[in-house]
Amino acid sequence: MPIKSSSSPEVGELARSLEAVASQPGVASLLVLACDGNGYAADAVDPVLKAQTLPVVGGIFPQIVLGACRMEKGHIVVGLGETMQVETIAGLSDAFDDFEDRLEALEVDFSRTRTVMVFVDGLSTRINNLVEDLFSVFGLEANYIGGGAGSLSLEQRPCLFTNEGLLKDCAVLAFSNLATGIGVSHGWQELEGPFEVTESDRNKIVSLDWQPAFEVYREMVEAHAGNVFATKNFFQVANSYPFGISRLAAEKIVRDPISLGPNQEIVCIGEVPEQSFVHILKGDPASLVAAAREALRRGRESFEGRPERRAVFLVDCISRYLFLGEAFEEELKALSIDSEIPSFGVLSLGEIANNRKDYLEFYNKTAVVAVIEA
Amino acid sequence: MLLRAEEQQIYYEISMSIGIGLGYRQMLKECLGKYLRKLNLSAGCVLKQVEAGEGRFAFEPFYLLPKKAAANRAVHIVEARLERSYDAAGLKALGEELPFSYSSLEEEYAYFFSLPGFGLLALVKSGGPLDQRTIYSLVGLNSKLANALNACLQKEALEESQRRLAEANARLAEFDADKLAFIQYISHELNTPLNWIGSLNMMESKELSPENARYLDYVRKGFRRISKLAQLASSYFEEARQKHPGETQVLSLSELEAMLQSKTISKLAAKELTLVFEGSWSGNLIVDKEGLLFVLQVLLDNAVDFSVWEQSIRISLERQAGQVVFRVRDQGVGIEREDLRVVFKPCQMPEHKRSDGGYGFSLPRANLICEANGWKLSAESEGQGKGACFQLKL
Repeated sequence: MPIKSSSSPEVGELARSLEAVASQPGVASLLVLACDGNGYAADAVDPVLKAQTLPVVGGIFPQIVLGACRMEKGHIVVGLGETMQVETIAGLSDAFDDFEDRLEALEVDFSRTRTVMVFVDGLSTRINNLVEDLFSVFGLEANYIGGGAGSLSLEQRPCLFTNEGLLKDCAVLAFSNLATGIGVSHGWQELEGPFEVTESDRNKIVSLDWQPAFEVYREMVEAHAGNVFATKNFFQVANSYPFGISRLAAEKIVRDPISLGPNQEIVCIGEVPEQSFVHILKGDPASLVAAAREALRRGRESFEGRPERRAVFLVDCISRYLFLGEAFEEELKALSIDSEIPSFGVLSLGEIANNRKDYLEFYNKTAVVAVIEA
Repeated sequence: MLLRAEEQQIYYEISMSIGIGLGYRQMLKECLGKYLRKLNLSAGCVLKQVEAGEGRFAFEPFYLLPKKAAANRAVHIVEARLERSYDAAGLKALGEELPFSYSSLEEEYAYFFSLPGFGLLALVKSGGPLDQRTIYSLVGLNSKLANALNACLQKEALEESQRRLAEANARLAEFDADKLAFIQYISHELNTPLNWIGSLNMMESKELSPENARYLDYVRKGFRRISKLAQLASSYFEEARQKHPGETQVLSLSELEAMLQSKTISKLAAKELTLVFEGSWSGNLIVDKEGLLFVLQVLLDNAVDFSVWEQSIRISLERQAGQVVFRVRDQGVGIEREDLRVVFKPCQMPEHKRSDGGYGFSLPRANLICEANGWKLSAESEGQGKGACFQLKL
């Protein structure tokens, strides 16, 4: 599996990496992962992407990972041996767009599709609808792996690589016959709850148990952490106290609170449905790192390709790094098989994964591992 | 192991999604999606029970999640586990077996539930089985889902009926408009040839031979009759099209009594009939004065026309629970039962049953005025020779 990386933020360096990998024998598609810190402008990147004849998929993420190295600038280009069919679903925030019809219209041969990579603009507002409609149309015939691209500044900019150029507010789906094994886990634990979400608007929680959501959240968090909202901004505090949506006999779906809306509603990455019950969660480095190890174990266990050709593709939430700080090195160690097996990935804004067994979900603050056949 | 309270919350969430809206596709997408998400299932299939002929029943896929049958394991398992069709005994046995589980692959479990009065629900879980407590907790939810589905289908059927009814009404209104237009067109078109025929009126009968004078007399009578008919038909159908109530005015009941008396007196005298006013004709009404006068006058004229010599006609006024009721009773020839239905319809009474020289438009026109004002006009008779009673409720 040819991999070319650079810590340079220059578009020219990206173009050279793309050419270098694309020219390798056996490379049929290109996975491109880049850092938001590069400050790529669409008009500079578009000609490079449009000139590429192999299918291109990927995105710009808050950070990327190569082996044990976390990068805030630069890029990674991975050459894949399988040809990907890349499709774009535009208008990912359009309130009334019917993704189901558009997904049904795609001509995909699922007899030759083992993996679907799904990259979305992580700041679009209807990612959940897209994920639900992906399940509704394609089911669990293939493994899914991907996540939210974008910037931690929370400013929505073009962030998805395709052969059409750098795109924003859309989803890019790459169907391929790549053999993968998927593992998902988060390690966050219940702190308080449950609370009924009595009013929400997609990714905004307005009230919990019929009280203003932020009042409830602040009271519970401050009971645990002291008067933290007086000294830190919302994101700094909330990064350690996400919400968890219950499922029967399965890990909770985490929702990452990232900001407060104009009416003190809690804005999350990902939808929080009305009438659902949520807990406020807490984490500790040990449980998160253990969960990352578990995700890798599950990915290795479900991998059905040739073991000698394994590589590890990580989609790990950026907020786990922000929470773990220096301990994130431990997480990266837990997510690598050994130094001989290539490992690369992204620190994302939300994660998408499925191993053909669980309901397809859009996760937050979760470690997702795909063991792929190089 | 989750707490029992958390399980209840999950079932509550699922139950809240059942019956969202009355469009079954949206409801099932939401609701079955919730089943799958909250119970971490991999596929679901709602099956509808249908008649398969010869007293047998089958279960047809009604809604799938995932939608494509090829991608939906529940569909494959249903095909493997259920028979193509069941007789009544087989259906009963299947019903008694529900809910049951079925496993065809390692770590894949399908669960079949009854949707009472609708069909079956098949859910597939991968990676481990549902526990018995969960399976039995879902039974109650599924009954609710079945009720919601039946309500959705009934609403859909009702909407379809309403749509068809609206279409039929639109066609009917179109036919009605065509009919009125045709009659008005014919009535109007008759005017010119009638005027040509009317020019015969200019001839002096005394200048004609007796035989030709007689012919001329026939032509004049025919001219008058056709002219009158054309004018009545034209104005009737125009009023039927417009159905405007008249101007509301204050009407003194004593004044009304006097007007009816004076307008009828000569007709009564011609047949030596008696007109009796009953009830209290004092006070005022605020009504379409012209319309009311016309209707009552038609009823009285009708009573006069169908009464025989020296009989009496009674007109009564009663106040009942906020309504004013007029009744005009005669002792005349009566109305046969089958004619009671058409007495207020134009052009439907045969000539021999109409008043002498009448055209059959008076009562229909009176009825039009009543309909325009929201009044109720009805007729009763015990049959031939037993008189008639017309009732007008304001």
